Amino acid sequence: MPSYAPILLLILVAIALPVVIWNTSRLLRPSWPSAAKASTYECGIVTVSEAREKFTVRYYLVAVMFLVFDVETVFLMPWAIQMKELAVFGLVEIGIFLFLLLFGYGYIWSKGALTWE
Amino acid sequence: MPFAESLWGNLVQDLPLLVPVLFLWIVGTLMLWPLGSWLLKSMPKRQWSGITFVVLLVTLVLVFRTPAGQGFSGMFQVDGLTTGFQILAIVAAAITVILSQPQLNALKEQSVEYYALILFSTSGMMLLVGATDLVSLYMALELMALCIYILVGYLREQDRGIEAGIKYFLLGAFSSGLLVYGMSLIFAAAGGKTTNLAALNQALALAPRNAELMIFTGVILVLAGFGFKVAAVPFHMWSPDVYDGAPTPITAFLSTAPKAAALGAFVRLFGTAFNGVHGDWAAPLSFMAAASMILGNIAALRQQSMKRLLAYSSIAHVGYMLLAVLSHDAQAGAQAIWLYMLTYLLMQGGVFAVIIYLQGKGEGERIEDFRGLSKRRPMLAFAMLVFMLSLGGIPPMLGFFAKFYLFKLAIEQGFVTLTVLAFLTSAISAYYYLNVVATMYFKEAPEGEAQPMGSGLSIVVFATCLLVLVGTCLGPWLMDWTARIVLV
Repeated sequence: MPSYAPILLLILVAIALPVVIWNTSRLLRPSWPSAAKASTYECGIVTVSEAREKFTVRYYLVAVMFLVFDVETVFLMPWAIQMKELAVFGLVEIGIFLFLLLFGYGYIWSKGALTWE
Repeated sequence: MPFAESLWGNLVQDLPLLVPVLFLWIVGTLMLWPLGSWLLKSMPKRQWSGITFVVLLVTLVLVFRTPAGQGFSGMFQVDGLTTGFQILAIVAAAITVILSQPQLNALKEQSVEYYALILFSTSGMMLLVGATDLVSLYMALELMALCIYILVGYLREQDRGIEAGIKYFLLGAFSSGLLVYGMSLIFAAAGGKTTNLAALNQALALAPRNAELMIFTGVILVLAGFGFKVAAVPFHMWSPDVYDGAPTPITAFLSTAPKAAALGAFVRLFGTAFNGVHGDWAAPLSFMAAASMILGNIAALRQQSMKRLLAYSSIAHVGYMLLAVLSHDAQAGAQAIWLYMLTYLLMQGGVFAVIIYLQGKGEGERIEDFRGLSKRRPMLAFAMLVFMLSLGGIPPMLGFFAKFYLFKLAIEQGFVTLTVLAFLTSAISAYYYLNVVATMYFKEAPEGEAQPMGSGLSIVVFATCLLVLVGTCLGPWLMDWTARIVLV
């Protein structure tokens, strides 16, 4: 149990830090609020609409496809590091994995998910 | 270098255990691409149903030829229970595939993906019943469930279909969360060294006294997770709406295959890993069983829709089967559940074939639609009579023997009160099953007639009806066959 004490301390510090900083700055800073300052982004451009908007379903499709091929990297990276130890076995395994992704790629291609219009 | 060689050796040695599952994966993937969307694009889509059926038959043969054994670092095991419940899952999927063909034709919704998803889901069930590790168990459960979420919401043009899909997905995801949380608590309480079921049982026995609450919480959470999957009260809320909104063949699938697989895993998990902490889950599980029997049967009394009636009656049947999970003797419990599930599968498949036959173009699944069926289609009405009597467990029928063995086991294990309750609620269930029979035989037929659909359906109706009748004659010997469901 004693080994967890530093983690607990870290959590307490992490919680305390923003509370302290925010309150200090609130006490020290001058305060002249205005409508423009209270808006979501103070970047100089007038807000157009709410943040909640409908997106076309294509964005989700792109996100899913990105995820599929991004996960690929997650598996390729450890394999590349351990390549020598895993030898032929690793090569075959990662080959099967990439081969499977190929089928996924073929499927989305044939379904026309890659053509935007 | 020797490390990689040992991995390679293990893989080659263990792979035969997974041959049927691998076969399903490969065929399912090929169906999606390149066969389904590229090579055989010009082939009529409705023929995929036939191809899928043949694939499932081949898988069935492969399951019979798979040698018993354990592998993948104790993650997966082929024994009598695995083989038996794998057969149930495949038969249920095969019945679903035949039922799907005319229904999807009528709705003009045929697609390769539908059949591939059924195959993937079946492969998940086949892994689930053989899983001997918490991790592989969870992975298999998710593989099974993810495919079914999509299948439930398959009719995405219909509001009811979308509602059913979303409902099932949200509750399913939530229950998976409970399950994993429970598993993690048990893993921690058992010393954080193993997730293997047999090893967990020993580790839990050695757990320190102050871990008792942790084990109890974990077991209850796992119980709740499984309760959602098999739709036992009080975790049944999703079931009627989902049954109602899903395409009818998927309703048939949902009420048989995942339940069979989940109950198989249920018995294995609670019978092996949590056997030592029986006291922790006996009382909550008894409550779930009793509540399922009472609520399922009483709620079914008032249903107008045939699919909702079957949903509630399915909750009640799960309640009966939980009696066997409760048993101290996991193997006897698995045998009783297997027999019950087999008969339930046949009857349910037959009933849904009749419903789809009458449904025409996705309309008319009310009990009223069965009025005067005995005059319009005497054979169909007779088959329905057989299924209804069998579902109700009326003595000479097959369903009676399954119930008899289940209740006998429960009495032997000393659950007398629960068994009496099961008898009483079973008597209630006879009312609504016979009500359907009365509607068919003693009420006037409505004007006009819906178009009959497909010869495949009549084959299912007559095959299952025949099996139920033949099984009825063989009733007393059924228990000898189930002795092959061995739990190692």
